Amino acid sequence: MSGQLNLSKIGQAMARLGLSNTKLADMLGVKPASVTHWLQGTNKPRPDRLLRLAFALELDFDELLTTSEPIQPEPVVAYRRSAGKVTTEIEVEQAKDIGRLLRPVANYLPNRRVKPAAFINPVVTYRYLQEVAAEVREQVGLGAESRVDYAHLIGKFSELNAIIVPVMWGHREQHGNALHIFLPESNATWIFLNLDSNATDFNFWMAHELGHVYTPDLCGTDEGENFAEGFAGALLFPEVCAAKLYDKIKRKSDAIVVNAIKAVAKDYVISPITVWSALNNYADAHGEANFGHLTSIYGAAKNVAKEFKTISQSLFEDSAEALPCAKEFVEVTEKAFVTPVFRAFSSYLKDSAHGAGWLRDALSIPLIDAKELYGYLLATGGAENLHQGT
Amino acid sequence: MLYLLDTCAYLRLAKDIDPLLGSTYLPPPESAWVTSDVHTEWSRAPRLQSKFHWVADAQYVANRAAFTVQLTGKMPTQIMQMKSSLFSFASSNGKKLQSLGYTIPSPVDCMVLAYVFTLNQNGKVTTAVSDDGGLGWVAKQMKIPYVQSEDLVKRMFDANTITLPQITAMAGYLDYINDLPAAWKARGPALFGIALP
Repeated sequence: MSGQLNLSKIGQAMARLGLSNTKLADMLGVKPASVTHWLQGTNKPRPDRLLRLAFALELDFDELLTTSEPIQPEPVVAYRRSAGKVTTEIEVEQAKDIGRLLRPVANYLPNRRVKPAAFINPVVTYRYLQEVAAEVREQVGLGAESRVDYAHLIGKFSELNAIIVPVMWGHREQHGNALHIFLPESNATWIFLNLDSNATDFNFWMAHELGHVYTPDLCGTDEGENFAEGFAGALLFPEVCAAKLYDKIKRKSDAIVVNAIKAVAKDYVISPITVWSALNNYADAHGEANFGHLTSIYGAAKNVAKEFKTISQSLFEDSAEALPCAKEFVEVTEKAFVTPVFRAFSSYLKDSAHGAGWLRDALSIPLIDAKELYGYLLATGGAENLHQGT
Repeated sequence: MLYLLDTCAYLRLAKDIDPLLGSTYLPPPESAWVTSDVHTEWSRAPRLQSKFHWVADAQYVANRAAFTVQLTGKMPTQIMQMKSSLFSFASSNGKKLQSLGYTIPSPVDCMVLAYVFTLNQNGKVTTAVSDDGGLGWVAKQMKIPYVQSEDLVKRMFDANTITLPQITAMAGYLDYINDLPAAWKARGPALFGIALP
């Protein structure tokens, strides 16, 4: 391994653990003189002893060794943290691991010298969210009340240097359907989108992720999550729509309200929960009575979701097999999401010594799928119908 | 003495050597174990589930439940640190691995070595079982006990718990599903005195 022992880190760890040179040598099964030589910098342990040293000092190699390469900033993961939830912390750490694997791939992405646009001084207020959402709607050519489809937003992601990574992760709970990793050193944002989400969820997650991309300074914070959530709602069901529906159903019974919300949600291919939140936000912002807690809204959301296919079902409905092969997956998703990701992976894998295991870890997919994708990416440069400039 | 199998090695052997985990086929006090990663990997992969549908059968589920390594105390943290260190080492030796015809083991690949190293450091004598050549090279550099799946089968063969016709049939099936490691063919005559398919 390159790099020298990080003597100050080692000294701190030995002090923390109350270890002398002799005691450490005893733990490692080496002579005390060997440890002395290591700590004087006159000698460096062999890899196997380095591993034992790391274990004894409760450090990993990144901490144990200094490197001449600049220290890379930590990947930033956008994830709603729940206080005290261990699983969420593990998920954030796993996502950071994915970010570390993706670091070198940034060199294989299209020209990234232009800093992407970002919202100025973003704040989580109703007015601000409505204004920026309206601006984005206008930019993508949508009318004030038009339905937003994920296809409308795709161009925005590449414009903002965000790389969409389509994945098929199967059915997951809400927050497992999108993953947002920002790598500060390359200014690259990687957005994993689970194609096995139904259309209502998928539209929401695309809008939510776009909110993150527009607010890089808030990424990784709860405020950033609140902003992305609010932005998605404002984009998908803006104030003008909320106002009309609110006037129509205010002071009606819960059953009538929920039915009306369901009907509108179906028209807009969004969840009734998104509509309900938009109505309550509208009411709060205008000093009107909101609809409070509607007990049947979650059941309604489930029922509406069932009426739409998942994105993968829509994309691969002509597929001969239940699941697409690697070639079909790359060709179809590369075209649908205008993503340079597979070309970048292909070039990186050809240049590096990484194998299918790298793809498995980087995409969080099963090894059996990673092997097939790896074979395909090595044999090709991505799909044949690639896009100009990617 | 424990043998800790990675997911691929488990999927290769467990269908025909049933119950693979535990000590039914190994000379005492040796026993075979897996980590919880086997279940995680299998449960999230529809294609793995169709190729290895038997994994969900009750006797295999019960066998894994009884012989999945349970971690205590500091071990989960130690394993994560060792996994990270092993991956750093593997990555920094990418060119060497490439020149040997191997790919760099990924962090998840390195997990089985991290388990084995940590278990050994905690007093449980353990050997990794995997057919990943790159991982074998890393294990050798790090002096972490490591054998390939055919070596484990050889232990069973020497213990007279498995016969040559059984080994031949197993190799034939693995060959049929394109999952027979090259080392089985290359080392078959030396280990078992016969050429495997």
